[in-house]
Amino acid sequence: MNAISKLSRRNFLVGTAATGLSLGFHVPFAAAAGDSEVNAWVVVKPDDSIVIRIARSEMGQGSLTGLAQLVAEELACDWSKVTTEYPTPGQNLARNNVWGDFSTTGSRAIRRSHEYVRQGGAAAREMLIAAAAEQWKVPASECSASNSVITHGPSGRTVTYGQVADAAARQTPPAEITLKDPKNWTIAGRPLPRLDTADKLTGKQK
Amino acid sequence: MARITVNGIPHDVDAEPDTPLLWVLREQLGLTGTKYGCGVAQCGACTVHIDGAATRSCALPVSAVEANQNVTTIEGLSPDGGHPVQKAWLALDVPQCGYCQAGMIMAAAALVAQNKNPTDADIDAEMTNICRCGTYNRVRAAIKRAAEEA
Repeated sequence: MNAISKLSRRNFLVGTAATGLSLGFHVPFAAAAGDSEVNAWVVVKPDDSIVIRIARSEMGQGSLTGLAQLVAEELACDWSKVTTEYPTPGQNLARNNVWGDFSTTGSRAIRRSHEYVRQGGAAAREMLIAAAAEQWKVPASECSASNSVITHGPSGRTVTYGQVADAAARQTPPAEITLKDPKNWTIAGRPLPRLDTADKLTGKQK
Repeated sequence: MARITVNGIPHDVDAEPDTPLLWVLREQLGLTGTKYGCGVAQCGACTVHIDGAATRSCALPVSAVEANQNVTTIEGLSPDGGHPVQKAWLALDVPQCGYCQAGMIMAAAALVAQNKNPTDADIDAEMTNICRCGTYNRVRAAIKRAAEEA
């Protein structure tokens, strides 16, 4: 099945907030120079590394990695360059609850948020593609994205996410999003090494 | 004032003599990888090495540590997370929440330094750290893996 989402104001948090808020004022993430927040869920750095925002607490249950996989799947990014960061509840409040519910309980982190985090990843992907298409002056429909690289089919030109992220952040979020059929997933829905493990082995985790 | 050597670096710290070593590490030196668990040297979350011996730092007065003894914390176990125990932990995805794991790793590192072929009984005898997530089976497997390389 292809889930065509009806993007109402209430359930599509990214669309409204990205245009209305996130581009309107800069919120207190310590973004390094050159980093581009494509939308609330996805930051792309010039070196093509990706920061995915996680709005649930990682307490050993693995949802940090699972949620990142869901966003990364729709984003069509290079999983090996994914890191994560937590917005704070204060930032969520300042941005009109753009990240939705933070409560982490009852095995609900993924069950309750998988759809909108995937939409967040998909919206960012479409905005990155739109930015590349605009740069090439071609229709976005002729472009596709995979592994953090956007390709213009007819000409074979390519550009990486990091190269168009700044322009992508200025794109209007798509009005309608088609989520991938889970049977075509390559990142989500399978066990991968957890992103939080390394810091727990070195004392970096406070 | 106490002088202690932590991860090879001498520090003069302004602490009462009965301050537990753990709080000197965490509060004075900012080494927050070592965790506070029970406070009575039972759970092992606060385990560090003193001259290579696994030692629970939450109930050890800083004055009991001599300046010439080397305290090693999880931050100083290896420069890059490359200690055999850390590598085995990563390969077997041992941690869940991670709170006890710095202590687990330090206890395991002391064990594999002494015993290159630990049996289940050896591990059970030496590893008395407590893990609320229940990572014990993976801890055991990772220690055996690390011991082969250590």
